Amino acid sequence: AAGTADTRHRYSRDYLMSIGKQIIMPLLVPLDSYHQQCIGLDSPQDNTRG
Amino acid sequence: MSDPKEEGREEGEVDSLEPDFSKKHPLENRWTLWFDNPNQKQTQKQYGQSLRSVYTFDTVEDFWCLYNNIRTPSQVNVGATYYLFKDGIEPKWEDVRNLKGGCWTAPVPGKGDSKKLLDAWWLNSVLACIGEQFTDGDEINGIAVVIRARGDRIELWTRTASNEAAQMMIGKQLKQFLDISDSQKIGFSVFEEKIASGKAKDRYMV
Repeated sequence: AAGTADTRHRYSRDYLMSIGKQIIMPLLVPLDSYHQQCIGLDSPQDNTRG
Repeated sequence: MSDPKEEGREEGEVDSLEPDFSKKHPLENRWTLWFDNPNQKQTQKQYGQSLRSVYTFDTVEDFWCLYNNIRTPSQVNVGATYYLFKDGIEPKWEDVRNLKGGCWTAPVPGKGDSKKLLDAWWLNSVLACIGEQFTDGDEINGIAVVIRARGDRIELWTRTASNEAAQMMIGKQLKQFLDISDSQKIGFSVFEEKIASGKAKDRYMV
């Protein structure tokens, strides 16, 4: 019916990837050091994925 | 006010357009990344003790700030699991929003460069979820990448196991987003059955 257009925030993979290539800013999150170490958030300088 | 047409473009339409970096791109849902890294194999009762919520985001930019600074699944310990769930839903079968649901399980093929494929499957499935690429997006609760010695896998958790039409559509679309061939089948299991007996036969296959 008119007026029921899907207004969800939809993004294709390619569009999301094009944004992701520009975003390299690290995060500081409140997580215990063991888990930070496990996922690498304590060492963003080690990120090699560019 | 944001223009829903700009954010709501269909697949393919956005590809010819450069993203507008003057503002953050809102997601339809808030998502929380969880990480579980148990020291040893867990019993059903022990599950959750080493589960940690890492970060919650609701824009495309904040997602990438997280993703670009954490280890990929192939870089974390065997036995670990990443979960990405809609905010407020815990990655537990017993969560009230999961209780009537189930999950599609896509085992990562062990042959070839399986670790590269693991990372690609995780990223592609995450992007499909946060980008609302599933037709029945409201049925999606979250997604997990499970790193195990006996074989890695992607799990897509959904809300209503009894809704066969929705589950079948989601399963087909998951295969499409992961580029899984028709000959490789994936199965859907029901959480109520897992809770009752610790395991469950596949209710649906695509």
